[in-house]
Amino acid sequence: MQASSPSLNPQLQTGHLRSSAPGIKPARGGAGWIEWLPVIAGLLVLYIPTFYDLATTLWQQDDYAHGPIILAVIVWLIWQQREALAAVPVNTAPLPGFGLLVFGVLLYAVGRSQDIIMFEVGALAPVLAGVLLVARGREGLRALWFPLLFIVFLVPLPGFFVDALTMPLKQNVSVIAEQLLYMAGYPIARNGVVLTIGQYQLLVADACSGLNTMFSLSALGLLYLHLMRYPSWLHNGLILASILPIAFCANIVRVMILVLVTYHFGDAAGQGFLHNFSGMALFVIALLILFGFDALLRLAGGFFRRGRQT
Amino acid sequence: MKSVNRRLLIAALVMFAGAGLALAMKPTQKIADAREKPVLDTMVPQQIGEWKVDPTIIPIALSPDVQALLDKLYNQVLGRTYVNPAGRRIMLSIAYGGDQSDSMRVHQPEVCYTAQGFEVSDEVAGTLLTRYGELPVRRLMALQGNRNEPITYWIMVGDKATLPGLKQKFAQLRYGLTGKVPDGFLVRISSIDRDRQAAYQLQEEFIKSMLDAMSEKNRARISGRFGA
Repeated sequence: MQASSPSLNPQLQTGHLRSSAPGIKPARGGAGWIEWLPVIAGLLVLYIPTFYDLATTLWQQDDYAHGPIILAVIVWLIWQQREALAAVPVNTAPLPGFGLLVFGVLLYAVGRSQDIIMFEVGALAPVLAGVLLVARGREGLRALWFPLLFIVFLVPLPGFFVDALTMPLKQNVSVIAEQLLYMAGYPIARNGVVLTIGQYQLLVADACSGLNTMFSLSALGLLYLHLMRYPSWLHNGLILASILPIAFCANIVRVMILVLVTYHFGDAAGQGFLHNFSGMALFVIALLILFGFDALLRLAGGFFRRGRQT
Repeated sequence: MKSVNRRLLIAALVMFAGAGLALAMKPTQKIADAREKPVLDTMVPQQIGEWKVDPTIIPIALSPDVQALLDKLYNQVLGRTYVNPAGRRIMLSIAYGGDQSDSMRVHQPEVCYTAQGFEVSDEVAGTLLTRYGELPVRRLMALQGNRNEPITYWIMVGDKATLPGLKQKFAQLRYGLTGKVPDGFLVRISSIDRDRQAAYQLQEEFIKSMLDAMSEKNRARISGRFGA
């Protein structure tokens, strides 16, 4: 979090204020926020019901527990950019702005009334983008591009998408876990997604597909890259490309650990506290691998640069 | 500055209008209220061609807690086993939901069987050609230990036969955008058989006989109005 405070990081400051051309005064810094009040009220009217509904239904499921955190991150990211936004010269683009806003609002109305949560939540992006264009034009949009992009992670994955990916993921996880444990000498056999080890039979459930870990880790990885602001595209690209494989491998480790815990300590241990804990542990492990990979890349980058200088 | 303020005010009004529009577009008119309430027990005859009801076996049902929850939402479930002179058995299960078709999801074999420890696999979407028209069906396998249970099923959204997923959502939207809440059925046919192709074949014959044995009105309710 510290890295994002403009006063601590000069490189970041130029990033923040990049859009303010010299000589143009910010739009009356202090009192400026009053002009935003109407649209803030509008946003609250649109989205308090939506997020209330989510908080009482979907977000209560383990699979979507990351929802409120993503929302908080988006609000925080926008708040972080408040000065950058205030520094943007008033140069509006009302036509595309209102076009986008009306499109977003219609998408919202259809989504909310017809229970298409993807439309309802996803509409937040065009609504916000439209407001920014109306108020500050393209420069305003540029100041908040990242939080707008991050709205993607707020949208609950559509059912058909989850259904299409869950089964193949489960299948692969089961096969690889079985192969590895078999090679390690354990008495393990597999039938579909049912693993039999010793006297125990374990079903690799939907939650074990790791799909949600992939989703949350992608969000977190992207946020991390945004906050670190690496200048190298290669570095950013490699980290991005590594997120999904890391989540996949971490999930295999998790399933194997659960199988081994059940085998050595019994069914109760495998299904009880450890089962819930393993979900969290999985996430932390995946995150550590990601950070480790990042450190490795930085190290490699350092060597490479030094090598070229000599 | 003035004009920006005014524009943001207009933007806020657009948003308020959107919130109002969403409320106005919310479907409220249940088509279940406007039509006769189905009685599942009498909709499907006890005798279908050469098939007779076998009272000794009842198909997989929902767990009691889920069932209790559903009974509140004026829903109905029918579970029956039919047997033919050759001694082959077919299990028929029909679920009806008067409103919010989403609650029908618990009856979907993928959900219902999995919840009872079955492993569900090999889902294939297909069509079943009846003399009344084409019926979209999904076929899948449910496995538990030695029990191999091939399943054929489809769902109804209002008057339209469809399959769960995007198509179901589109069918719901056709009602929803005109302010109507469709009712829904789920029709599931299964048998215990290791030879799945033979089982699907038998199920197909059973479905055709069942549609033949039903009154035109009831047939339309569980298989749709073809060509309409």
